[in-house]
Amino acid sequence: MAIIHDPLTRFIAQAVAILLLSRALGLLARRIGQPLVVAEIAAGILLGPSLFGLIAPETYAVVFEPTSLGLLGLVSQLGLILFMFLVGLELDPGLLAGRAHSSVAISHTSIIVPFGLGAAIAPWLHSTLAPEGVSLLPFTLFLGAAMSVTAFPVLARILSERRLVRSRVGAITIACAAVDDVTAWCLLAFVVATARATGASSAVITTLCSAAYVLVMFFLVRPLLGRIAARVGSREALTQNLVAVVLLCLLLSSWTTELLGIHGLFGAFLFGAVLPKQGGLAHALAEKLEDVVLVVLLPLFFAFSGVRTQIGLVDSPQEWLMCGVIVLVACAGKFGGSTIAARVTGMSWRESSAIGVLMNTRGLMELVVLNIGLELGVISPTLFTMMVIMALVTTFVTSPLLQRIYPAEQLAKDLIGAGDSLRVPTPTRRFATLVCVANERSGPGLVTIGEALRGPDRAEPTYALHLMSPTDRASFFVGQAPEEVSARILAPALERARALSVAIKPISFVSSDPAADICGVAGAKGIDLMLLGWHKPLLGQSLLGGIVHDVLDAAPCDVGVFIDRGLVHVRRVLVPFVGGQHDDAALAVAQRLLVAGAADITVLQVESGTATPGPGVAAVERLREQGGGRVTLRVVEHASPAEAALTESRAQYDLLVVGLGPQWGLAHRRLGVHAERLIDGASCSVLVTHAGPERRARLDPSHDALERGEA
Amino acid sequence: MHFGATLRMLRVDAGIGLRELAARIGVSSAYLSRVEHGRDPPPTPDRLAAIADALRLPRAVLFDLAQQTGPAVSGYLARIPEAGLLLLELARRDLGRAELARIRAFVETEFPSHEPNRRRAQLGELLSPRQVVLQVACDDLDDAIAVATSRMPSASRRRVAEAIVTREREAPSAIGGGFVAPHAIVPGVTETAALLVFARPLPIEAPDREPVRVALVLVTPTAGARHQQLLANVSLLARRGATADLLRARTPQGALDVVVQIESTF
Repeated sequence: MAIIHDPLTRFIAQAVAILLLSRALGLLARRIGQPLVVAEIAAGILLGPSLFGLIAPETYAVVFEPTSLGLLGLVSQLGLILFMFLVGLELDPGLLAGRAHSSVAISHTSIIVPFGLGAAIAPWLHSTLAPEGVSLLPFTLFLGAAMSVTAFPVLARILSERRLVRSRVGAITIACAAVDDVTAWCLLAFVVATARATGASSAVITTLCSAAYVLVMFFLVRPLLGRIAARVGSREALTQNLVAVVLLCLLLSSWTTELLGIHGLFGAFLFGAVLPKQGGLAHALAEKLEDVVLVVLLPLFFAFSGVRTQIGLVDSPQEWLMCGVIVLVACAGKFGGSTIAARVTGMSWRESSAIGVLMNTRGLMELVVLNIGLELGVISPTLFTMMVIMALVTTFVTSPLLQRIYPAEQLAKDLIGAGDSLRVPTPTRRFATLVCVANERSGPGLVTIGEALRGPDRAEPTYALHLMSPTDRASFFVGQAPEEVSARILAPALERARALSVAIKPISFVSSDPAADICGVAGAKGIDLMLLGWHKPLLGQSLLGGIVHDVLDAAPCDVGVFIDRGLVHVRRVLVPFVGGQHDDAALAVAQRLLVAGAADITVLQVESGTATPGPGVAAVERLREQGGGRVTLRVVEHASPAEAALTESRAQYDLLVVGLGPQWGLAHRRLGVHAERLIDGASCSVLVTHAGPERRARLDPSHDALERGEA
Repeated sequence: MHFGATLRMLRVDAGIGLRELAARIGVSSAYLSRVEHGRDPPPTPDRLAAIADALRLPRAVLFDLAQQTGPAVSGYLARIPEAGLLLLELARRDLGRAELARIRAFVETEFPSHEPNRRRAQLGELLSPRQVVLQVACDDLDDAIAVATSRMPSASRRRVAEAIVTREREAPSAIGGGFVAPHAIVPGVTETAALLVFARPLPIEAPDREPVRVALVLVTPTAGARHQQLLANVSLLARRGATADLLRARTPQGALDVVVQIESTF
């Protein structure tokens, strides 16, 4: 044939044939509801000696000339390296968080059982199907590993096609498959090391080196990559230089693992796995590579495996029987193992068997493993063919079985029940504080408390909000620039922040309705605790009137109203406690102070005889357990809790944290005629806490009624 | 105002990729990218028209943003040369925005238009004095977005603020002329906006290196022509030099008047 006259034209002809057939079959597969990968594997087999070679031996001999297979093999290996990198990229450790327990249980069972079963039939197959000179151990290990593979990428595609990713089954399966993938690859790396090694000691050395390499990647390379990824905020910033660097690292990693004696694919997978998934980097890279790898390079690999698959090799009834046994054992191990493990962790039979079916999908990962085995010479071409048939069958049955077991209506029901708790969990929320600075004097004290409330990582956001009244405007425009005024008022707070090395973000603007704006900003920022300074009201004597009153009414979170009596540090803190929502908020503040690490807390639990202790007493116990020796509980009996607290507060405390409640002589009202006894009488600084709507809803609503009645 | 940055913002919100848009108007994506980065001047009128159609914008708006007259005006000037002389007269007198508004009003009453006057979306209608914040000082755009959402009539400020911040991370909305236009499409919210005027320039990068002094934060429930139009209005404000006038405003109502007055000429 003149149109094929050199290696390049032959390669192009092969690629054209492969792409055409796999695309055409792909359309067909979509018709019957099968994933694309089934079509691609089938196309590979059809293009091989099993069909194409049978019906047109001459043409086949020209197109897939034996010497040309080396080039096809190389290109498909390159495709696989990129593909394994993509698989690693898709592996998000965030998927595991929160579900680790059941996922690990299921996925380990789903590896151990098929591995065991595979190893069990190995001696029987060894006599007839192992190549000459392969000893039983590597053969057994390889057969076990090959049985326990799950196709993470195919699974991910099936799940997303059936919109199962957000369901319980989908979430657990994805996590399991991810664990499976990692475990199976480690296993395989070990098998390869054993098969290649000349002796037991070199296998151990290879394994140790590989383990060291994994550690280096995770603890050295990963943080480094994290820094790079942090710079790539938006997709536009992914320059070609950066892509080049990443691909270079990928190739180096692949090369390293190849040199170590485990397969180069392992390095590619590992590099993809350690690449940070936050930020745009992973996503942008995947987007750039995916099309070329999935559309062009992977079908070449399938065809390459197909050319090596000779169904004609399985000809005697006995061999077909063996093939059947292999398929059965594979299904029994993977499907049975996962189903039972899922059932044991407390899922319904329906869900469990759905997980089993999904985990049974072998897809192309199996082909990857088998090709490695064939290259190593651990398995014979006949066994290779049988295993390819097994991979094809297990992948093929997944979709129809899943439809049977887990029909769409059932899925819809489960999705409604699942709710948000099964979403990929967000990282633990940071505790955000909003400090409202009204004048120069109130800033430093508020910042001091804000600092004492910050967690140990010191990275939590603290905002300092200053609202300018529009009536100030005259002075703004005559001589004084407005930013200077707000800067002057915020300056003492920022200076204290610098002294305490707290990073504070100042915000200021003109406001004619400060209470609404304070609550609005707190809502927009998702603030956990607002700290307000104390303003002497114009009318009446209530310290908690005016703007503070309005803020407390509308606040979306807990609020602390701070009365500063020269607070410089927060070491000894007194929390008087009777029970109720606002006392609970006081305990929450105390708990934050404990987390931050510097304070000793004394909880004064007052039992007055008239009022029974509120439902929050358990919270005191929790706080004590958490604080260890740093929380002291003192229980006193006193007719007036406020007087008891006042007496105790005289003993050298820095800060008195008290809930806003009638038991302390504090009431939430606009105009008070009585001075607040506890605030006036205490000699130390006081933080009056008010529970936000969330906390109020969580705690007994009857206390709310009690309070309103008194006020 | 930076035409390229505005084009990119409008393109991203129309959900059209760089390559896709380039293919639709028949240019290379490299060329379109250079336009978006301001390294090439705005495209020719017929390409602008094709871009406007793809971005679901009235063509005149895009011509205006690109500082081009467009075929409607240039054709008219060619047909009636006196019209050009009239413009020359206006230029010689150096007439400003207020004087031109009077001439417009005169033309409107003397020669009422027979075309149905299509109502365009107006930012002024989305803003109340409460949604105009003056003398804002903060250290980054996230905080500015929080201030803006704090003034929006919304039940879920946090969700809205996070949606805007997320959208901003995808593609920055600093469009030059001292303007930044953070925005998001949040299903289920009522269409709303907030206008912030900064006391000191916001320390973020602008495509034209002008200090950022104004933020117009926009939230709409759905993507589509109306959303695009509102965004384009923000860019037109920047294009008409609204920043200087807004900085002079002393009350929220005063700043709102600036917006309404400029929008009336669109």
